[in-house]
Amino acid sequence: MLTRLRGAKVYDPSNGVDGEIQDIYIQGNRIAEPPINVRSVDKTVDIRGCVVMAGGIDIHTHIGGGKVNIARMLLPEDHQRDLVARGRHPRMGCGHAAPSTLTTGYRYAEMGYTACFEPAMLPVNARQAHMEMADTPIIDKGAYALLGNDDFLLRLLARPADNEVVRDYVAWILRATQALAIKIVNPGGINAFKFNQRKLDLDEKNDSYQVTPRQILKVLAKSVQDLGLNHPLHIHGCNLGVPGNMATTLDMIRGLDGIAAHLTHLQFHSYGVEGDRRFSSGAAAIAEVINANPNLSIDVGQVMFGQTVTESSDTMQQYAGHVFADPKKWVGMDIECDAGCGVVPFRYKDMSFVNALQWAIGLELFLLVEDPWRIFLTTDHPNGAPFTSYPHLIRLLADQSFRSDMLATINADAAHASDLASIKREYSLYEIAIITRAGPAKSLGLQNKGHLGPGADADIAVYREHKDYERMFTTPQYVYKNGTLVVYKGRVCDEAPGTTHVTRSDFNPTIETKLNRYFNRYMTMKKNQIIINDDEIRDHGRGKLKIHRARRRL
Amino acid sequence: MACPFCSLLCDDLSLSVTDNKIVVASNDCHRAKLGFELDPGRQYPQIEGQRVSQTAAIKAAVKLLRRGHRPLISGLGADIEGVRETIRLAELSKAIVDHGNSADFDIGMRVMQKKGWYMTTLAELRNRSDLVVIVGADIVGNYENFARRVLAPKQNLHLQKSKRRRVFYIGDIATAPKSTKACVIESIHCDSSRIAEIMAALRACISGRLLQAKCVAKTRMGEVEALGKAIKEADYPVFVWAPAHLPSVQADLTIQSIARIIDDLNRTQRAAGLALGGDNGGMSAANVCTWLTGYPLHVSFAGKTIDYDPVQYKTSALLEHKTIDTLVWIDSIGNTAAPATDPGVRRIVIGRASTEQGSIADVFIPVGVPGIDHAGTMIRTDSVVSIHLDRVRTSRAPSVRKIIRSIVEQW
Repeated sequence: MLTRLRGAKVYDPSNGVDGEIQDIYIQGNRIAEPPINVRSVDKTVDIRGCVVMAGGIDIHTHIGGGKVNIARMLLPEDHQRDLVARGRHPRMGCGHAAPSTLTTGYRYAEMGYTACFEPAMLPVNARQAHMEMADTPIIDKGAYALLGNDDFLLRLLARPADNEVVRDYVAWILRATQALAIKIVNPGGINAFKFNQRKLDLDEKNDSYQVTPRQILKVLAKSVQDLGLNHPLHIHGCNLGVPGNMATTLDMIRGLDGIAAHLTHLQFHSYGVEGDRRFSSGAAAIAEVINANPNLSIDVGQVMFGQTVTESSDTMQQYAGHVFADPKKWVGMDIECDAGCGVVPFRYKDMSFVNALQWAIGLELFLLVEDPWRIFLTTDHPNGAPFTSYPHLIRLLADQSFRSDMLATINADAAHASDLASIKREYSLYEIAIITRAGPAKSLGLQNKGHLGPGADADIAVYREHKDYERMFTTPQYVYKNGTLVVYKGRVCDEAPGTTHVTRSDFNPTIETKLNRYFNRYMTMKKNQIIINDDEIRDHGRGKLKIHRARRRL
Repeated sequence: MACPFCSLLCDDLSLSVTDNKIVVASNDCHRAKLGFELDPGRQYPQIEGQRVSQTAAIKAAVKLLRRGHRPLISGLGADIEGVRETIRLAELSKAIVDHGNSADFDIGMRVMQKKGWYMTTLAELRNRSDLVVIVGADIVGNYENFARRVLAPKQNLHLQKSKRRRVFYIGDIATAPKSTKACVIESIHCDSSRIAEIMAALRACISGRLLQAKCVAKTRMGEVEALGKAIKEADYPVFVWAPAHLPSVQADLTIQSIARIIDDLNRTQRAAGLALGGDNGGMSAANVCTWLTGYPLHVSFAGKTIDYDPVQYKTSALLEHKTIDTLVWIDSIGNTAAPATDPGVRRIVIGRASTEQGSIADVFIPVGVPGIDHAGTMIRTDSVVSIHLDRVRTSRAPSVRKIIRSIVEQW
């Protein structure tokens, strides 16, 4: 069947289309060339007065795995304030900051998002992460496997480095855990916290292995680059949330020596120590360096005011932050010689100097980083705010007068300490389309996603044009997923299962011998328990699997 | 092979299968033996004790459930797939969902939901903990392989060879094991009903508060103080407990004390806890229910929105207060019988084919065991690792998933 979406304003940056009135054709699950004969169209949907973009792609959102489920368990009060009534969605659910998997999928789709990526999948917990994602309806998904604090890798690095073995290990982990990319969190720091080190600077040695975060970062970033993964190493650096951490961030960037890297939730790593309160914005300096280093991409991790919960593998920094828990409870965990996790509920307050300045720092980063292809829209859901705040965030970026008004309502000292008032930039819809779909797709190597050219997956969001972008992006008129209409007037009307995206790269099988020995000697399960078969992902048709091949450079 | 019969989910068993009979070859765990070596059985689907086809039984189950106004789905001894499907059925039939063993981990869950805690996993304990405090000594008998696989393994990553692990048992330690090459066993003996008192005293010692008492729960304060000192000198003390084996009246106090001791310790050193429990698929059920509904069991789909109430929506309370009219009891693992109900309550039992349960149910549907008759996945006691279970014998017995799905499809 050939469907024609007629006469909307199309924003398709990957194909250079900037608000032109065009028709979009859907054939099956793909976007099709315009037919030679218009009469071959089976169905026409009149979407004049609407804006069309590819489905949104969230490059960093915590939607599945142990820490997410712990947050759900910890916070019944989060769900009780946000219940989804029977009939509102195909299946019931609940949750504001830590929604159930079903509610997560429906809400993303209802916002016009069609693909989401879980950025911190612990290898030992990967099977559960995938099962949770399988129960997240409609959207496509994928996950980044977490390395850099696992005893296996640190033992490798503690000896004279054998980069080939590290590369094989990384490639094996990708395959075993069905991951799309590799993530690192507080390199070596989570492991060091297990031995009671409370901070670990870039050049400080982990007591147990005598390895520094800089070494770990470089080896992993290089391995990911050499293996030819599309997405570079996804880095959550040292000293998250610590005033003055901009120095660490800048130092880390220098240490990468031009190796490609993605710096995630950079807002949390862009703090200076100026002013009476020893807390200031480092956004200008950080943005300048990002602008000058084309090997880097970032996502922001914007903070929004209100109740949320922070979920992170970074036990070291979550421990430090737990004193600010609101409500006053938190869960920490050391995990299986692999990593850890900390879940700390938090309320960002607009009248708090620190929270208000965090909000401003995020926006400064958005507005000062010049190349929209290297910056992606995230709140690090739910760490900065739940993903449902994206439409509000889009309005903040695209509407300077709205931004000024919001700035006038926050803690006055924070507003004064920020340069935000002097920044006049407004994101265009073309740029919004880049930071919410085209850019993430390109960075992740999803060639059929994030654009509307012929052959692309027919993941399409149609918004009724409105000058209030928050309103416009909250309730799309139509959302298509793989060519199926899944949302109409902001409400889910159909649910087709999404696809799991993974990357594969070859490895020397001798790595398995090493891993077998290691697991048999030390672990509490066999190595093969880590391996997730393709059938587990496909799961009797509940999920689809898309394998992306890495182009190994060595 | 992996074993589904307790929440440790050990995956290093050797099984031999002859003529579809399984013998546990490698393992001295009585629960594994009991579970695997149980006769496969030849039970058939039944309606009111009469043998019927599976199709007829499923049809009858749908009819009963549709007629019910207040159904409860419990037992829930199933693998993850079974639980996933069951939650869908619960939503359709507006049922309440609980697990037969939920009382085991509820107390811990509520301590966690109130103030949180700091926990660890099996491999962390195995490789890094130089001192383990086991609170409530019944762990030895109930989790036999915990000692072999976790407490006293041959090798570990981080403990120096010269330093043996110290393991303290607190409680009624008539069955405490002897010291081995890998660990020194010590104990504080007390009546199990007084463990909470020892833990309170221990907490006071660790946080530096002086107690006047010379003796607590018939234990000399000196012993408690010595343990406190050892804990403070340890690199990574880990507290292990099994909520099901703590006396129920004091279980919450005991777990709270442990959680707060760990908090106190973590200010200056490292420490963590590990709860053993959620057997019979309980940990899987709690996790799956949490991701699908937001809540760890005790949920009701009866109203317009999902309702969570760990006090009211508890199998025992619901049966006691006679608030349900239909019971769906699922147990494909532990072979537990459905609890007694009032005569008016309709009963649908989905259980292992080895046990005759047809006579006590309106509808009985036999199923296979995950990890024996079909492959499956379950979540381990630490709530982190999910273990894949292989099929080990040829069997026609359907999985819980398959049966529940058939019911859902006919709804």
